[in-house]
Amino acid sequence: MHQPISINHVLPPDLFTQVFDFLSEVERLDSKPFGIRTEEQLATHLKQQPLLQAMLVCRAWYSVIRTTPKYWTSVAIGVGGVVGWGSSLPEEIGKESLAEMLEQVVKRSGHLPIDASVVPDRIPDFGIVTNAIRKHASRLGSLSLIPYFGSKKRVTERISAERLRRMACERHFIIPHSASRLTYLSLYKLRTKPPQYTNLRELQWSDVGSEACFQEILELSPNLTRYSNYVLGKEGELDVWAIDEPATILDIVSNDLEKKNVCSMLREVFLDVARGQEMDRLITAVPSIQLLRILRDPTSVS
Amino acid sequence: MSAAPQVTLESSDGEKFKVDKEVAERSVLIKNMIEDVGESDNPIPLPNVNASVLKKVLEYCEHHRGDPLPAADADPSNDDNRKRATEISDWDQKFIQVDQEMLFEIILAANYMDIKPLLDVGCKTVANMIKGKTPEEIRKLFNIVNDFTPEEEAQIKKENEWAEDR
Repeated sequence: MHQPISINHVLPPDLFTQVFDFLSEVERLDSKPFGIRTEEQLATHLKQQPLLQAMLVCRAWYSVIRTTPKYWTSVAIGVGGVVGWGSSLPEEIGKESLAEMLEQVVKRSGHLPIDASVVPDRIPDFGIVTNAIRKHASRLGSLSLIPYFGSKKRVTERISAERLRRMACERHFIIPHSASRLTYLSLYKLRTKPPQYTNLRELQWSDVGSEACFQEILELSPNLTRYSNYVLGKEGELDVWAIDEPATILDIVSNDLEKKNVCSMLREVFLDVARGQEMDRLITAVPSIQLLRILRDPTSVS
Repeated sequence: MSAAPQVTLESSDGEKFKVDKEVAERSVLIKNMIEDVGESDNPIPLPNVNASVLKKVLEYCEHHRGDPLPAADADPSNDDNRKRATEISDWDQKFIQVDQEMLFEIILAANYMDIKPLLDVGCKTVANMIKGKTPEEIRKLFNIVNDFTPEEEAQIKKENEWAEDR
């Protein structure tokens, strides 16, 4: 019988790196942590780990994957292990394994920015995480704090993270007081005054009506160009017929924020549910808006 | 109207292919050779690519002859750009539906001839074949010998436990 030629005898090691690059990219996109809202989304988060499977194939593959820093820049703490989700918290992570996990990712990723996803509720001693984040804050490229639904725990910390480009927080907050490269911020129920984010371009803010912190963050983000009240790209997961929270962005109109020159760079606005008439007022108040998309207007006939 | 300028390529097994210069220049290697040597009637030798593979590579270049080159300034941190970078178009998917031997030959030829979009299509295809499979299934698919001892395999699993879903 004709035996197919072994891939290891054909492709040189540098081409394997290119294959693994795509595998790593697929893994990263499949495990996008931003905008996790349901238990099911959380349960499937980071379930695809093809690189970990590939490194067990043979010594040659192991060597390439193990020694390539860019494959080790993602760390998920407390994200997995949620299958069988019930009313009680899943097993918490012990100090020892948590410390090892953090040490390994910092070591293996070389000097590259680290993407971290954390479920604080599963970590009894969160001080280990915040200490590690403080120690390696300059390495953080993205940070996503994911809440466990039903937990009363609330984490609020302030750090300096110069390389942080993207951050998503729900209920728990690690607020970067110095993040000059932060361009994307996804927030829900912020309860603390944010610092100025000069380079923030994109803000995702889940509606809960008028909020003081929302106004503050608009005033402190002069270069905001895109605003949405849901995670873009996840329109298919929204039940727009069940949404009735008033649009927080209307604070601009109701509080005359435009007179303070707030949002003067805003170009694109994406909303799940909003009234057309109110949006007309928004466009009048912020004439820089070039694109406004609403998934449902409750006043229009369906 | 004057005819489009053409060049002749010669495969490792001596077969000659006359193609439009624009098509041949999808290969950075050939583009540089033409620039360095100047236009000539002599065939351009490709000693690392046989006729059947070169025919296939030229089919790709012909289909993509007018495509813009990949944007060098595409923001790699943008998820839309990254997603686009992992997708394979319908035509490319059909084009790359070949047996493994030909797939590897196309990847090697694209690498040698410096045709990055074709190299990407080949590498993405191999990545898609790996995705979702166990180590044993991957070994079987690509005819790879498991050269780990059971102890080594256990050790690797143990030292990477931290990276699994926690």
